[in-house]
Amino acid sequence: MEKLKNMEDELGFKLFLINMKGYLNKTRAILKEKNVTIPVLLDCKSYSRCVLHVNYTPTTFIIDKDGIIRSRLVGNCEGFKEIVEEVIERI
Amino acid sequence: MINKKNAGAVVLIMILVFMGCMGGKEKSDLYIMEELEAASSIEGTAKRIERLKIFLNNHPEHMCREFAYNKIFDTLTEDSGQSGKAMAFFDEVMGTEEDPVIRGTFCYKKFTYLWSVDSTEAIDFAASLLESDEKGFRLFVYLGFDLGYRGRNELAGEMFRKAIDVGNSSFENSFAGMLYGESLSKQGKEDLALGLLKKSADNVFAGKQLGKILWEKGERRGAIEAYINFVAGVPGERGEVKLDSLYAIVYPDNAGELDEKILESRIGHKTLLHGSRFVDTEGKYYNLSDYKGKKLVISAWSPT
Repeated sequence: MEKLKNMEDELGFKLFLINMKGYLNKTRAILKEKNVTIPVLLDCKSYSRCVLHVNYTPTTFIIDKDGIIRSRLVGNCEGFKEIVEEVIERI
Repeated sequence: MINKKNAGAVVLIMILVFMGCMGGKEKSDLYIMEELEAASSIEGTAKRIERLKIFLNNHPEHMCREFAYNKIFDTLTEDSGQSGKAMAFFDEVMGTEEDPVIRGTFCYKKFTYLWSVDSTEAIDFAASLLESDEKGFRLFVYLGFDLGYRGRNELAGEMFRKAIDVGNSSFENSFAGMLYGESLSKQGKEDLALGLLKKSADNVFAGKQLGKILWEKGERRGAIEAYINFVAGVPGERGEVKLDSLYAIVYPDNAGELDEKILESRIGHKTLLHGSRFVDTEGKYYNLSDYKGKKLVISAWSPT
């Protein structure tokens, strides 16, 4: 995901992570250890479960300029960054 | 009196007051999370429970109360001698808590604990929930998952059917339908499964099971379509379902079109993103509605 963040300006998008679990200090430690600079949003209102209906993690949503969710990708895999880039360029 | 000379200062003060109010609110979620984490981390069990109960008193409406309930229950069940107190705490929460999602999560917590000590009691508890007024969609999905994993396919199927009953969106219904269809397929009820999976095709995972059944029935083009929908949403499974090979068998002259078909399916969703306000780990606030006009990538994940 950090590699994807480097493409924000070039492809014109904004990247967020939503942390589905409430372990704040552990999350902060992991972010520091892995040098994550992406904003990590705390899911205090169970938004990912109740609004986005996330059942598997990670689940990645790609939203177009009109605020429409165009793609919902479950899991991570080799070439995932390229898959996301392809979707962003197409929508 | 407000005149032209001091109007600028008045506006500035109003903005500062507004920002001050927002600042207070903005910090609150993060502080609440920190308070919860501090209470959960206390070494002594009695003190930890006391602090978590204070947390619940301080924030009776906050969604994070779910974590506090679970932590108190876990703390009480750490010591087998306290299991009676854990059950009493469960009853106490269920007597007052009204949110169906939180009730459901807590019922599932009790189920998993019961399973660890007495599977018969756990199954009786799960069966009693089928007859209850519980409306937690995820409760029945989780119970179905768990029971299916433990080989109780029939009861798992009933849980998924109940999840369809209590689901209150097309997304939930197709997710539960997919799970129920998968469960029926495991029980050898292929025709019933097929009907249900076709109805639940909105859910990407339905495509995996649907593709398998249709391929076995010789409906190869339908199977390919189902697999494409599946791989569009779960890209890492492309090799697992051997989509490239199957596509080349069905469309030997057009194998090069597969990537484009997957991409078309991948961007074919059209659901409005409901804006919401979030605080990040550093206390900075973001409102998703502010990003209209810009493309977004949002990944929901659990690092811990």
